[in-house]
Amino acid sequence: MKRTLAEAPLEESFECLVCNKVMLRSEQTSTCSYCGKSEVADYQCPDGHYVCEECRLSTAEQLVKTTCKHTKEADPLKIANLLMKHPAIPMHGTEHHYLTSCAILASMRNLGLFDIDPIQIDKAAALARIPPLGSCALWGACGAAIGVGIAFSRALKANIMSGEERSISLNLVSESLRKISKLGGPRCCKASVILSLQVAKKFLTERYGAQFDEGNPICEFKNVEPCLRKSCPFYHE
Amino acid sequence: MICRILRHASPDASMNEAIEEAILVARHEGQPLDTVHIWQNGKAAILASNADVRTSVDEAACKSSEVAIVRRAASIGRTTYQDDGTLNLTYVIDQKRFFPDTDSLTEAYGRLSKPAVEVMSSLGVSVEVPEYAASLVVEGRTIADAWVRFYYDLMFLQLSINVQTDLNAQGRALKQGTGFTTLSREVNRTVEIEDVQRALIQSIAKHFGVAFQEENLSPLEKKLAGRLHQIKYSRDDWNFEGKAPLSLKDVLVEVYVAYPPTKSCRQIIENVGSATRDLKDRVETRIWMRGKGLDGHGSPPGMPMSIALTEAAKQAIVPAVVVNGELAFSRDVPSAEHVERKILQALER
Repeated sequence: MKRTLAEAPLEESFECLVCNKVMLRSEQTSTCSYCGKSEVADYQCPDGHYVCEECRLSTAEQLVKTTCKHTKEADPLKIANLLMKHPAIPMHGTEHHYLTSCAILASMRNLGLFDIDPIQIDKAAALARIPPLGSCALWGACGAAIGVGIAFSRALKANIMSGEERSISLNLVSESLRKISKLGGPRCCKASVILSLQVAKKFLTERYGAQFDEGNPICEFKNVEPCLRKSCPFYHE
Repeated sequence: MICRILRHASPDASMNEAIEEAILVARHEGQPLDTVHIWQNGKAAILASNADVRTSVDEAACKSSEVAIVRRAASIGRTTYQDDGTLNLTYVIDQKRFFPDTDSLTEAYGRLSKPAVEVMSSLGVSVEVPEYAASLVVEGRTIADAWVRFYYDLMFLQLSINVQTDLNAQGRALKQGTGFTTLSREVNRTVEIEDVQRALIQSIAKHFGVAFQEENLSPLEKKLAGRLHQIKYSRDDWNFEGKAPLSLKDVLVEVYVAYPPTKSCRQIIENVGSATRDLKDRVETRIWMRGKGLDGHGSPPGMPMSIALTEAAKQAIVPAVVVNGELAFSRDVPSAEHVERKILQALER
């Protein structure tokens, strides 16, 4: 008869959430790959990745906000990918709306382009939570694309009386929606996030000279149904 | 490849459903051989697992004709009627072992249907090769219904072949009881069930290169079937409302922990283990790891989380302990005594 985890002792090795390598038991002090906290690790990846106990138990929103407030990463797609690998972020869902906006704000801060304080990240997350599940279909507006607009609006301090700042936010959302609409369906939140962040990165490069790694992103979440597979520009076999 | 051939059937349609599920569970629990189960039912309207009894069968007609109403735990398939003119062919197989060259479900289904298609063709009945999980059809008329279910790595496929099924009785029992045919009707003579049975076995042996070992139900299967009949297939909860029991045991404890488990998660697992040590005959424990499924190995087909645990996972309540479908502990670490008390309360209900 097959033994279950309830019948056998806990395994001593688990796969790293960040890179899937086998993590081994540890008693070294490690730094959390999400929030940056240092603590004595129970499991550590051979490449140094570690997820602290608090981040393992976090809600999606806590995780996104904490990570984006502390990360030193400048590429918003790398920030988003790290977040999307955590079990708190499901394959599809409204979590992708606010992780897009928070990742962009963190990137802008780390590039030295804008002074983004933690309250800005909290406010962006609160706004980006508003589009409901399925807003892409119900509103004709994907929440990840709206997240781009929210991030730039916060950074540029746009309001209804603004001129260029408001136009930039609207244009970036429009461009993100255009790219997502061209992908076709069914919806894929991962692809929507990648496309929206590509729009954001392109703008940051053209407007502010930001430098990012070149190359077409490869989706690390493929084949989870309903995957677009070869119809998706980020699919790789 | 050796395969078991099983011909056992009960006169009780609900017990036959229990037997079919018992074969599947026992195979997962270590029964060594894949099974081809070739059998007949009494008069029964077999509901799909998600069917609404009110729109699927005519209950009054079934009662007056002594047609049993039972529900099958197959996720793919539709409500159908069977009697002693129907021949059931059930495969319970380890898909990877049976078809090492493909993991395509469409391909597996097509191959498993071929013996039945071939036997019908040999009688002069031209059956359209089915799409995945579709019924076998002759010019738009259903001649065999198909049912598919998955349990861990196992595939359950049943073809219910209308050899001499009473189509008038079928029309009375089912709300959508038209559009069917039988082998006998198609060839305009009585086709004997034993002949079809014999031909099927030969065809299966030829197509899959199997040597059959004739065996009856094992002690484990008999025990499981008895238990499944008692808690599920004999009950109106299941047959009429589709409410499945959470576990084969009296109480199910689901523990939801982080991946990897934190110190508090490990403590909970240990405390639940202590609380259930002397209750293993009556309590089943399942450990779900956040984002990584049952025991950290994904979400196996046929083994869903309870609704309460699914809700806890959506709300990021981790760690969590759910006892018999009710959230018992959330985010704190209950003592073993506290967990045991909850389980004993559940056992008393």
